[in-house]
Amino acid sequence: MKKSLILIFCLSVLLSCSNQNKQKKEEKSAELVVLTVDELLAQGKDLVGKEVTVKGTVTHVCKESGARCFVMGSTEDISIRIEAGKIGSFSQEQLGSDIQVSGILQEVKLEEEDLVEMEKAAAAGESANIGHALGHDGPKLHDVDGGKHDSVNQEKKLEEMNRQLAESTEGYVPVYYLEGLKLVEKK
Amino acid sequence: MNIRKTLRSLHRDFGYFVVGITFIYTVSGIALNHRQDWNPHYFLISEELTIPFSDRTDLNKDEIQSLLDQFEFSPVYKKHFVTKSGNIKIFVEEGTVIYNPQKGLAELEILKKRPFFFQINKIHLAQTGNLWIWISDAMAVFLLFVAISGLFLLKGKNGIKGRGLWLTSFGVVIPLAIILFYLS
Repeated sequence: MKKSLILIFCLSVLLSCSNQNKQKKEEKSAELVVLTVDELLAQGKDLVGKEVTVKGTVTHVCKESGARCFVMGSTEDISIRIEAGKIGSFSQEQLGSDIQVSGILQEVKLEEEDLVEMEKAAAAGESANIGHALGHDGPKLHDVDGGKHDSVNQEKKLEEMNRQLAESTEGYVPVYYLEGLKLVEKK
Repeated sequence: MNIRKTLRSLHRDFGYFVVGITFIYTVSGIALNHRQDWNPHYFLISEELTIPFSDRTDLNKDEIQSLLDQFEFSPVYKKHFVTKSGNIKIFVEEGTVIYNPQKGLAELEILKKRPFFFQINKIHLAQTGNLWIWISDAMAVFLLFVAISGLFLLKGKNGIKGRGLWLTSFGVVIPLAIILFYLS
């Protein structure tokens, strides 16, 4: 019994020390300029891989586990996906709230073959949402979790992406998302 | 020092220690395994409201609130905007209302936390902050110790050189077969 308690105690102390060091490091992260979703997407190319802070209204929270949410800019067409990452998870209570999130901006490059694959899936009535490029992906779970009304219109979004691809000089459509580091909820 | 005796004591004590967390991980594990059939985190409350048609979408907060008051559930207003398709999307506490003025239809969807399961699933998925990740790592180490030490507790035909070997092998072969035939 005594040996077991000593072992449990030592392991707990060791782990809590490691955790405290990590928290101190996180507190040292520099304060960043807060961007709107519109500003972030407009500057996306230059900010990929960098830590940014964005603010906006939460329009969707992943109903399965809160692993991601979508934050809207000036219109419903302008939004960015935020993966919870180090934040842990988002909750349904945050739906409709204004939040401010810091995270690392990531980019998914959708090329012609990706769009072709997505169109095939959409035509077959399946989810065509590679990397959540079309927005949130709820349809396959709607029978069990609700959310019937905020399904993505895959065909319309794919049309828009094809238009962007045709205009692109780089041969791909960039889709940006944020790997969450820190969350500030405003209201 | 009798190693088998020490192992038995540690196995017993650590075994008691991890009962709570094992319960949480197994119960929430079953709940999460079946997430295609149900939402293990939330349950859905939905309600439809039929109201007179209207062409107006420029409703103010008070007008939206009086619309919300007509629901039996009495949702609490947070924010709203007009969508491209001409609907009014209203964010309320824990959900949304989609109001189509031209059809005179407002549909409410509220997601409420499933008591007990919401909390244990958060623990299972380590969505409770950094501290829990470290605690659950420690618990996993204890659980691993209990599993491995259990192999060497008994001597004889029921120990790891007899019946134990067969049952342990069987338990290893099942996930290995899944990996080899379905996940490779």
